[in-house]
Amino acid sequence: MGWLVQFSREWGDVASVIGVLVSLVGFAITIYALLRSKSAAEQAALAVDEVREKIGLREAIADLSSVVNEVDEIKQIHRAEVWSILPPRYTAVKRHLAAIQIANSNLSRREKGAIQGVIQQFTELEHIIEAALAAKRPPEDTPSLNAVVSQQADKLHTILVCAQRNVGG
Amino acid sequence: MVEEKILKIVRHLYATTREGNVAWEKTTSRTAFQTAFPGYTVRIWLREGMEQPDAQDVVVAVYDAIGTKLEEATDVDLQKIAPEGAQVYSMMLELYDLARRQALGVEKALDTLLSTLEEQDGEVG
Repeated sequence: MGWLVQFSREWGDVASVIGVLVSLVGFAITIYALLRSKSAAEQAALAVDEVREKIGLREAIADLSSVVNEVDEIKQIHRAEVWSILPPRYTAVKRHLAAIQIANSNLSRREKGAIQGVIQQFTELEHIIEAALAAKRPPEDTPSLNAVVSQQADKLHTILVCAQRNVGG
Repeated sequence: MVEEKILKIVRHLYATTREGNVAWEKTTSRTAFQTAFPGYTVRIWLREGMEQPDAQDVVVAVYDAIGTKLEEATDVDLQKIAPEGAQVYSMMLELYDLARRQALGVEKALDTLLSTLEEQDGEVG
């Protein structure tokens, strides 16, 4: 019976050590599996964010396209010198652009700054045209005013093209 | 004080414009130029001096998101609150010149012209 006790003591210790090792390995496998699933969840969340960003950009593109068309119409009205209908058109463009700035976090700081510049230009145009209408005379230096409107149209078109490229890329 | 903040803004714009990191553009006025940021626009222009009519004041104004003027200050206003020895007028005048040249594309135009002249010299030579 002594040999049995001896045997149990030796192999019992070994069994305990093996048991601890197996537990450690099992623990490591569990942690690894957890990290992998967390990483997969994070990747899924990133993918969702990317899709959301692309949808947001597409909405910004649609909004910007609409404003570019409005500004192109304003250019035509300027050339036709129908001043009385311009102020509400300017207001509509400004409101539309302000909404685009607020709603589209996907636009870069530079793009938002460019849009803000357009809003400011149309505010000045509005003041000039309103003053001319009140004085019942055409505004002064209409070629300069027309040039400013053209520049704003070009600026917005550039932002639109960049946004389209970002979605496509 | 508001004037101190405007002076800080002017100093910052002066430094960043010299570095070429600010986009100035023309406006409806031939002598006013603007640069815009999300939610705000800054304009700079020259005006007949209030204290010295034969001199010109440099004016800076800040506008909000819908184009309403929030504040305006001249070099004279800002010199009153600037530290002693600060050359506010020369700084603002230089800022105005830099803004004008950038908005009008002066550098680019001169570079193109120089390039054309050099090409012509090369063809003749």
